[in-house]
Amino acid sequence: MVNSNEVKLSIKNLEMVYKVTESISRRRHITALDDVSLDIKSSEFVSLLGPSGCGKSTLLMIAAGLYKQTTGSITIDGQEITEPGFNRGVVFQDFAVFPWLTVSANIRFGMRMKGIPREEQKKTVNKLLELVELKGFENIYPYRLSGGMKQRVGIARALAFNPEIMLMDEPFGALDAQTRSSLQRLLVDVWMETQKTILFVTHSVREAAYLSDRIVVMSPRPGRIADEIIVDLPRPRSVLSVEFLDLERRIAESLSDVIGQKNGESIWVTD
Amino acid sequence: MSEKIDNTENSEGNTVDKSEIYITLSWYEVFKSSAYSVFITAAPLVGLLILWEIAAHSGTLHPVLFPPLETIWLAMVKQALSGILWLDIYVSLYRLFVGVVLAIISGTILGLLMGMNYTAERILAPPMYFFLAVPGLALFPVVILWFGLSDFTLISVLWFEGMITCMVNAWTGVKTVDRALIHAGQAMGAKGATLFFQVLVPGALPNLIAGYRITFSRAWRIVVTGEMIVALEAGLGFRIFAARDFLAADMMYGGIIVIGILGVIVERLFLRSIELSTVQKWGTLRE
Repeated sequence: MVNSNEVKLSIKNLEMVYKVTESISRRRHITALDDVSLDIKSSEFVSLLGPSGCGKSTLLMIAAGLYKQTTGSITIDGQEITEPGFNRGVVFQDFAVFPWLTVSANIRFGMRMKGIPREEQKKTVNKLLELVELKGFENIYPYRLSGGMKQRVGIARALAFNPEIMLMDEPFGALDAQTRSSLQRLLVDVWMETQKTILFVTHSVREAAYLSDRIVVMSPRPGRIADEIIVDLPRPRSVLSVEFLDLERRIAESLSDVIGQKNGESIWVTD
Repeated sequence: MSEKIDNTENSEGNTVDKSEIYITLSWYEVFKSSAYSVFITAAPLVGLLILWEIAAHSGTLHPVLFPPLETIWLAMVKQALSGILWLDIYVSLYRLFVGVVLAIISGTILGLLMGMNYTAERILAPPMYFFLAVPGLALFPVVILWFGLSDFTLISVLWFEGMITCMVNAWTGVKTVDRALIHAGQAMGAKGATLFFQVLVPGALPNLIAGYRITFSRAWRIVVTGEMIVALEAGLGFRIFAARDFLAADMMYGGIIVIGILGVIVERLFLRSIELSTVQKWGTLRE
């Protein structure tokens, strides 16, 4: 489903070292990312897959402009990323929906910041509410929503100011299995319709296989790119087809190599 | 409900969701539920008043120390008719509000600043902790030396004590705002003052309101006791203290009751209404 070959997001020799002050005379340096290079094409759906602590979320936060890398560069259309910008929308694992704003005010937040006229804000909100299936909930405060609905708000909110790139940090990790699969289907629909470039962090093999054009497997401590798997199955994908199961096995094997296990069994069980 | 819920289609062919319905309570049910809550709220209070009345009329207690309720009531009515009571209430509330408003404004600003800025935190935290430990009342003798026996003295102490209280809560408020919410705000283009007013302040609001509540109650204490120390010529605290000279226990009790009632009214009117329109509406405070 890649439409053009132009590189949208380019990561070159990225390194991230966290400096933690343990005591007055001791400082711990933790290398979270070590020499990571990755090119993501326009409208491509790329998943970062890896065990916890492999730096995949760190990478995403740097791309969002929320963390600053130690060395290396990360560019969008050749422009260096130094701070958050309207060309990127971020979706967070724990939703991060503002409890003091209604559903529609949450969705409008980014548009207000960008200075989009009120009339247009209204139109976009209506369109997005339809897209994420939240019609009728616009004036409700988030505490009355379920986790899945909150994340729908999170997705709509990130799409609202029309960014070119969506950065998603384990967005469905905190949801139950049924809600997760319905949101995965929704995300595929959204992606097909909006043609956004998506960088998606996950630790679920099945999720990565179901969603991505390309899966980047990362190794832990320090975070490095260990493997890349290109997926050319047509969408929507059937999780029960032989090709899909083969793909899952291929990814799981790659991931278990990274973790240093003999086979992918534990990954299958825990997924 | 034993009835089985069946979603049916309406005339337009859309499915009607019957899992959420509204039930109108009969007047009897309304009466039953509200009567119960009124009863459990009022019963202990009424019981206490009855006990007082029995004790006062039993003859075992000195009538000057424990006057019956009707004597207290009459003393207050007399004061109300002469206008002294209203003057006292006006003067005390005036001091309270001037002091508290100044305290809330300055304390909130300083506290939020401490929560946002490392240098501000380092500079302000030690004196804040120091004055948190010093009761406001201990400042009175010194402040009287500076400013004399005046309204100004009372309001300065009030402002200072209130400011310190607000600072602590605003500071913790900002510090405990979920980092993900700040990140979300930043990712959507909020920074500087916008981030501050649109994310940090609403995020810190539950703590801010809790701080204002404590500030009001502390300020109320300072007003009443301050009026006793600074010996101004009017105010609820002053009246109680002056009544001592005449051994007028009924006036003292009456004054205490008025202070309590006013305190509750102020709390309900100002803080509860802020709470209802913000944190309670957002669900950050449980009903």
